[in-house]
Amino acid sequence: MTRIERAAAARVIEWAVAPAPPLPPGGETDAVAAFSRQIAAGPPLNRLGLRAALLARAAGLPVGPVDRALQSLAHLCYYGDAGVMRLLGYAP
Amino acid sequence: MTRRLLRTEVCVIGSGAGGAPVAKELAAAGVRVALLEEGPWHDPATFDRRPRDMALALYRDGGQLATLGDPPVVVPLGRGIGGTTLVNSGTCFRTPEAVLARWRDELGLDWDLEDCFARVERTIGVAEVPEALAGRNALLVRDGAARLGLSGGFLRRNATGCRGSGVCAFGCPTGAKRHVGASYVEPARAAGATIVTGARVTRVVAHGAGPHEVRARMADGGRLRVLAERVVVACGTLLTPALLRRSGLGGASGQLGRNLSLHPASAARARFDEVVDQWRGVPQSYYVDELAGDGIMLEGIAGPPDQAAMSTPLSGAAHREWMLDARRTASFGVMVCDSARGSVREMPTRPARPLVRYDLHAEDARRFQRGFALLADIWWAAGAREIAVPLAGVPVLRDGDSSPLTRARVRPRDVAAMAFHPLGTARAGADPATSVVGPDLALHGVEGVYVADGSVVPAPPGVNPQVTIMALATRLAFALLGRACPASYEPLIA
Repeated sequence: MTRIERAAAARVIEWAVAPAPPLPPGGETDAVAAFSRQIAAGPPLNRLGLRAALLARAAGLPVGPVDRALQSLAHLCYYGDAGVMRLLGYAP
Repeated sequence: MTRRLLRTEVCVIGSGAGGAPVAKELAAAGVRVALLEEGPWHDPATFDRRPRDMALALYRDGGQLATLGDPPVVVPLGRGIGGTTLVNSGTCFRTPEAVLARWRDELGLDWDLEDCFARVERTIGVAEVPEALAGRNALLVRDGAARLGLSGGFLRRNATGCRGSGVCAFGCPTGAKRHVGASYVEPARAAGATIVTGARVTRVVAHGAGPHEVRARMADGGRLRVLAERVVVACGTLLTPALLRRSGLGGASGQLGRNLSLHPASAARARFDEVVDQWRGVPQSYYVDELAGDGIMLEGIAGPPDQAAMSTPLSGAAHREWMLDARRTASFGVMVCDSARGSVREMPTRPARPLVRYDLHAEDARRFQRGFALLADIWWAAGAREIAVPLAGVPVLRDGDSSPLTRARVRPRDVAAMAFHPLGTARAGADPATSVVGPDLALHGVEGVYVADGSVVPAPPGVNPQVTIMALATRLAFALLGRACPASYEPLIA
């Protein structure tokens, strides 16, 4: 992802997760890096759609049904951080 | 560029639930077999119990392959030796008798699979989940269902020596799950089969009575040609039609790539006063089949917080509140035997990818609504405080009141669904005009080319299909050997 897209991902993660103590802010997790890896792994059409939706959502524009996918991805990426998982009681 | 030529008797394309049994049974009988797999061998020592990161390693396209339709449905496929059995929940059902009877009556598929089922179950080590490993998440449903007098039970799975690691869908870290990579591909290799990973098959060139030619591009850029008397295509329901179409095979009936069923599934969540720790124990260990006759199965689904976060149908502060209570939160799934049928084509990308069209049927949306209503009753009976169902427009249920769910008008687009059982895109049938392969899984009108994966399963069986696919593959293997599958008391390897 580009720098702009990473910044957009950070905003979308804050919006979808709304972290508040005891949860750490998104910037203190590896959520954005994970988001970038997830988008890179997806099929080309998904990549295009998600990247466009990411920028639109970060700008406060409606993104329609892709919203659900963006939220799921944001939740997965934030709550998959090792520190967040430990905080919630999961220690593999 | 490296060019390699292999000559063999049978070339099997794909190492999942269909290809692996064929390769093993043939190799064990002394047949020269080459098994081609696009993905790699995965070492269980690298499985770190973290869904977010393991999905990238073990799933095709990071697990993000989705249908185009209303609503979009994510269809996660495994990629590597073992195929999707590497990342499934391990649940094992035989094809229901009534389903086999319907296929016989309607499609001329006179499949007596009894001995094949028994052989598969012994090979992959099928046993019922013991209560001690089921996990509190499942026991809450068992207790709630028992209070309501509903039919259910512990599931049968292929996980000998399971320790309840709780991450079946993200690579069993203890190697307990007997996915077909472990239970069939390893023995096939031991019996002399040539296993080639990193081989993406681009075309099957059928030459009359053979030998046929299989062409593949290797992950390192090289080329592989395999000359084989017989070819078994087992790339999976979403990929097999594309390979056949590209090869100019199987298209005569017009059914190739059509008749796609998915068993769409979805999961609800519930909050309890007690600690559940849904990630402890077998994630899919219990089922409720009270509504199975109406095409609705309730099956466990559970996992670590990141997996649960993805499927919690809330956002922002409400989602956060549920996640902070993750240890007291339960999950359970509803799976629907779908009425809808979709299709799969190939997108002209490099490499080519499947384009899956599927619209959930209104009747199937109603099945989800009924399934979640039953699940809510069960959870209320087990002491749940709140329930969140993944149906848009239905608020979080509280105080034992399911009426916002039962009164809702649920449209297909309101359902947040995934699907783990794509089937039917090269369906079997006796009539070449309406099917792609015959009852013997041979392509109609083509000598020596067979299909052995979920694509031949002509309609959704209503239960997890891996044993069905493995049994059909076993039947094919013994047919190629010219004898019946041995009775259940005979040794697995002659």
